[in-house]
Amino acid sequence: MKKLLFADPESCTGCLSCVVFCAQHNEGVSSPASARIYIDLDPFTGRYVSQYCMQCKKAACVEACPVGAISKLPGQDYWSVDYETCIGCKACVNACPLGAMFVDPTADKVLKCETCQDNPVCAEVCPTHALLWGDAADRANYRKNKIRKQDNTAKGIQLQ
Amino acid sequence: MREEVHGWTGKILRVDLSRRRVDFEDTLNYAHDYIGGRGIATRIAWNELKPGCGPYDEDNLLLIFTGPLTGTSAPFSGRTTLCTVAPQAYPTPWFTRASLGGHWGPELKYAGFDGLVLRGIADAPVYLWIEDGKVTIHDARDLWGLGTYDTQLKLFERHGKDVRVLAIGQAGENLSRISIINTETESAAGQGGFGAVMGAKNLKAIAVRGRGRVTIARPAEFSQLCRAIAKEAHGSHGWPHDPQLDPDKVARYGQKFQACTQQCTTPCRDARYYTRVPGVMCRNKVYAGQVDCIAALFPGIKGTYYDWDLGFEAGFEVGRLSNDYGLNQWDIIIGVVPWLRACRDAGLLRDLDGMAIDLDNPYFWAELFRKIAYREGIGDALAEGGRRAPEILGFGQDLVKQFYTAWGYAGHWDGHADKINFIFYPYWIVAALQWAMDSRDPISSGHGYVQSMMCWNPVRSPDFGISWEQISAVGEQLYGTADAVDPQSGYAAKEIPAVWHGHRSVMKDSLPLDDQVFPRLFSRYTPDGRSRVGDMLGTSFEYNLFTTATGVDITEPQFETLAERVLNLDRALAIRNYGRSREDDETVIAAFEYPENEVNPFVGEPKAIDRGRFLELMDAYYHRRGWDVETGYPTRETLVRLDLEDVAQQLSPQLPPF
Repeated sequence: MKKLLFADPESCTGCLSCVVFCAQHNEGVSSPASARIYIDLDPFTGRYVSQYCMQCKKAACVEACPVGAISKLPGQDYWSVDYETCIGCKACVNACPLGAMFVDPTADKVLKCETCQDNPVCAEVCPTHALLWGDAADRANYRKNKIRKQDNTAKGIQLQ
Repeated sequence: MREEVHGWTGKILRVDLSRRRVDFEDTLNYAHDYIGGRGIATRIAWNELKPGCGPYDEDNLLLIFTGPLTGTSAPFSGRTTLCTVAPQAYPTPWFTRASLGGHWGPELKYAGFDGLVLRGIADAPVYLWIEDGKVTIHDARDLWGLGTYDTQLKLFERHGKDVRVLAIGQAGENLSRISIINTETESAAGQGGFGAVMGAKNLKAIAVRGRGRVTIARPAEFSQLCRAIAKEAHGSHGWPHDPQLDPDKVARYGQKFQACTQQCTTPCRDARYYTRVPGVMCRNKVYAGQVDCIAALFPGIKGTYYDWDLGFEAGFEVGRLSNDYGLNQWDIIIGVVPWLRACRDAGLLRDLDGMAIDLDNPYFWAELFRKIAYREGIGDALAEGGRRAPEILGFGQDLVKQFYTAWGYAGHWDGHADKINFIFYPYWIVAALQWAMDSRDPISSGHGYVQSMMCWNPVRSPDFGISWEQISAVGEQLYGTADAVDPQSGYAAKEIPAVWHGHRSVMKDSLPLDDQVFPRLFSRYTPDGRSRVGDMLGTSFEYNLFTTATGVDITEPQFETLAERVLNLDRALAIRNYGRSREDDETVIAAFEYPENEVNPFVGEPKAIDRGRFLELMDAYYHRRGWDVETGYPTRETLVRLDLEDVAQQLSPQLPPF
């Protein structure tokens, strides 16, 4: 079944682990500016809003790209950037309605979530399941189930 | 060519506020020998801080240092360590440290700096603005007089809401010895009165934005290690229970888990965020903010020593006020207020400038904070901190001693002066030893040993904890003897954990790592109860994170030697600048001569400290440290072994002969 990365901002702790782990895992550097996810933190209201690629069916970035550098490979559920083809015009950045196409200022390249090849590190390290990698069908019931089961506390990870 | 730097950014920022001059220094002048954070700050203080320098002097340095792990994906690493001459320290203000969470430290790294060395006094109120390697000093006359919250909001307006700000409130401006440096709603360098040091420098705030990066020496390995540690430490840090939200508070006040620092990969047992709490005093206001640790006591808890009854909403509001004024909540709740109550009950004090001492009334708290922050009436004396106030006011000098363990700091995990944490004999003996040897409340070593031992044992945690057999086995591996952890061991072998956790506390303040989570000792998920990832023991996490991030090629014992070096340098500084000696260390004993708060069921009667046996234990500690037993000074041999020959040279008039 198709899997999605989805967010529950109300249980976000504001730790930014997802952001820094993303950059470290994908770019090899620790820097929120090199991450493919952004958390807009407002420490005075507790509103922590996440921005990342939702893998749109009809993707504005893909349509905006003049050289066809953003595509889905066969059998792949996420859009990925082909940096060989990319000319660095950033049309996709302007086109994205979610603000989920980022520019790494140091490397000067565009970045988007490619779900770590269907194994997103951000969801793996999120302490409270505020980011979850799950079946698309579960999404609607996600928060309701979570509260009922009280499993927003710990993941109960078992180690060998 | 400059060698490549990983982990650290490689640059220290020096600001002289008197001359309004900005300078840069290479971090690698210190980094390989002193790690970062507390380590580098202590070395700079040794080099530059003169004996006799007071907290408000132009020569005093405010050292704000991150470490090689700050801002990286290392779990629990987002902290910052601040060092300066602390106004709160008693009887003499002296050099010590405080740690701060939030997102400020990582942002400083992304802006390109490992740390700040601030000296001098600005001629008018200013704030620092740091953006991607550029530093400017701005006029802050319009910010002066604002609280820590309003200062941050003003600077968000000016520079964008993604900047991170350190700010002081009115308490810091008015040089209160219990003033804090605050960031966000409740992350502060709380203990030590560091807010007043900024206030004396006329420095209102430090705002930072960084879009840069921290590079890692072995990125793939580091990323794997961080992921593994994040999983290992998930759920059970400091104690074995899974933290829970309160469903009632979730519904009414929007309670949720909060990370008190960047890169915290577990829901916390302490930190909560409340998104909507109606005001009680300000009825048209709805408050939001973090409650970590001590602020949870503001409402009062029935059945404890702190049994006033403000109710949750008023308690929350009062907590916001204290953060906004920039007041040290720990000193107020564990020190000042219990002392005021004790004075009232003993008939020494009728009221506060005509206001009844009614702890159930939120207006009492609000007025108390206002008086302290603006030094009004009796607040002028209370602003000097709970330890000094009785001497100034001339009453309650004996009563106050039961709330303050040593060095002007109210009790904390010591089983006596702090009457909320559950801790019994013989575990507080280690705490007493840590208090005796430190320059502040030794909490980063205290959480490591005392909190771990108390929270994980089957008496405190019968359902989730690990068995006494497992604790004994871990104790034997870690400290070489089960006596160090046995509930019936009395004074035996207590110097071993005190020394070991001393080094761990330096690592935590230098790398830095969260002191509730590290060192990783116990685990619920391993058959022997010892924390580990694969073959790597939990106690090796610090070393492995350090070497994979920085690429520094040293062995684990060598890494521990770095920590030992910092600890000895700190001691040497205390000796050179403040004449610290064994005589001072022994003054701590008095605070433990009361019967303990909780009774060890294996012992069956409340215990107090046995002075004779404790003095012997101190001998053993000095001996183990390589310090002279008579004076408590590090011997020349120890300093030379730690590559501190220049320090030994300078100290030589004071050092005992070989």
